[in-house]
Amino acid sequence: MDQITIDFMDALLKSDRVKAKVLLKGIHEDNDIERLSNIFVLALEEIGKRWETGTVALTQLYMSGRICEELLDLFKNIEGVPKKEQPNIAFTVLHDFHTLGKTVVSLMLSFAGYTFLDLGTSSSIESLVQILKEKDVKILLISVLMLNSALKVKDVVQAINDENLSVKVVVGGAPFRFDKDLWKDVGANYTADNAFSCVKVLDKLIQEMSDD
Amino acid sequence: MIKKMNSMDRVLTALSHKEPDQVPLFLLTTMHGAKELNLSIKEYYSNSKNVVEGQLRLRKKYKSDCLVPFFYAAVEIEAWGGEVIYTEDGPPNSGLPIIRNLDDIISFTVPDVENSKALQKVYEATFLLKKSSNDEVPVIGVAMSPFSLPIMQMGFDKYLDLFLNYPDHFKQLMKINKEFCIRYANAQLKAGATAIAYFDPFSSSTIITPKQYETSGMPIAKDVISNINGPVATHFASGSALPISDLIVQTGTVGIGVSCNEDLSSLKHAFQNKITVLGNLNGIEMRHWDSKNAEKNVKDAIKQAAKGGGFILSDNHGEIPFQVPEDVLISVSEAVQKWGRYPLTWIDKDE
Repeated sequence: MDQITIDFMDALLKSDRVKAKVLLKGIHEDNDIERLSNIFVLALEEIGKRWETGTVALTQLYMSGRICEELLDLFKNIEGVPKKEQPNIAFTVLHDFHTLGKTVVSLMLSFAGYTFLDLGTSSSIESLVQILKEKDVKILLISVLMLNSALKVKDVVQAINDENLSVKVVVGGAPFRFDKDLWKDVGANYTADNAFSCVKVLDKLIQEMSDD
Repeated sequence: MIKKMNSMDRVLTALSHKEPDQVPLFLLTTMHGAKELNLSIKEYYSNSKNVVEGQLRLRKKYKSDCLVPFFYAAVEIEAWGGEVIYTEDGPPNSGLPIIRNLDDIISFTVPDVENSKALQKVYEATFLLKKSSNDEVPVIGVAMSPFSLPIMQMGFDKYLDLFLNYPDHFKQLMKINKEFCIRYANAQLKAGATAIAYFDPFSSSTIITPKQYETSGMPIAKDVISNINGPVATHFASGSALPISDLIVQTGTVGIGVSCNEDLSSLKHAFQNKITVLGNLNGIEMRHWDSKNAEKNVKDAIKQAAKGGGFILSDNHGEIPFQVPEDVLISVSEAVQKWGRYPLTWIDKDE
């Protein structure tokens, strides 16, 4: 990481919006959106890793994402982060109202240039699969907080297979962090431990899908 | 060999940082009472008598050293007029947030805790379990901390926004929630609870920084605990405690429920002779343990933390998942009987 990125990350960890904005002033004036998104992604990646190892708190992770989102809004005349070549992606929380994980991951996906269909909370597997069919979704991201919700992913995967849909399922959330094999038990294709690893998983998955 | 103790004496001895006859076991099999009585989770929690019968049977089966009249965390949201969503295989969850915007906080008032219809079943269960206990088994009531309750009241992301960006509204909400928590805890003690488990995951270093804990979670805990008329043990529901161990001990708590993601021997060292460590079996992995895994995990925990007392074996979240099979729980219990007898001489032989 270059010094600007290190200092920017430090500002994010301290929730110092003012310093974060000042650090990016030059890049903003140059309209260098690619450099900007690289700085966001590198800083948030490192913050995400540190959260995984317990040296950064969720409040810091959350505020870092929020500040980056605000900064992106502030930079006028920029169309946004360059969009990636991708199949249709959908994102849902399964069976509960705890959407924080999805919020944090959504921010990271946006910074990384991914677009996705936000399905909110899915209570009905039939309705979920119907939407996947209608929207020709190829990758489904599922976030859960509770173990029993995590176990319902098995039913989602079964329903997808019953419809012969070609949808890859990526799961994340607390139960998958406490049981490292749970994602396999429920038939998911991949698991992502945190917001940034979700981006890495998508990069890898899309590469595999294009190689097939 | 230390003379066999009843559960109350065993737990009190451990809490005094002395070695009882055996490592106390708090197997928090809350929802499992529904399986025991062949009821749905919703039916099970519909009245106090089911919970009492369930908990008494489970204690007899697993030889746990406590009785827990806990229903589900969202019962507190019911007291505030919120909804609860039941599933067939997990803890009842709070539904839509009862605080939808900042203005709601201004008009928010504390419900009538002592006479709350939603909480009556908890008081009844507490009273009946206390009566059955013959004072030989601690009855552990549960109260969400004022600092963590807003996760259910508002939703996690909105509460994070409130906490981080709206200090005046946060302060007002804490004032209301503190009163609720203190009254609810004291009502449970009055009904017969021996002690209160203060559930405070938001205070853990997983969620907030040590600095944020020092200026918010800790003083709130200290204030609330000092106003609860009985012993209080804190639980972080699998959140990290090590980075703030020196602050936790200042809250007045007598115990701390710890995470399987932290090293248990480091936790014991940090809290030794100050507060009792409860933990830290991984309840989620437990669903696919066999008897060998159960025994190994119990032995490992005892080896890391049980010497000198000040340790109660439990799971790391404060509630065993519904999916954990009976034979695993029996294996855990048997492993404690086998390896948990003080003075734990096998540990020295192992080393």
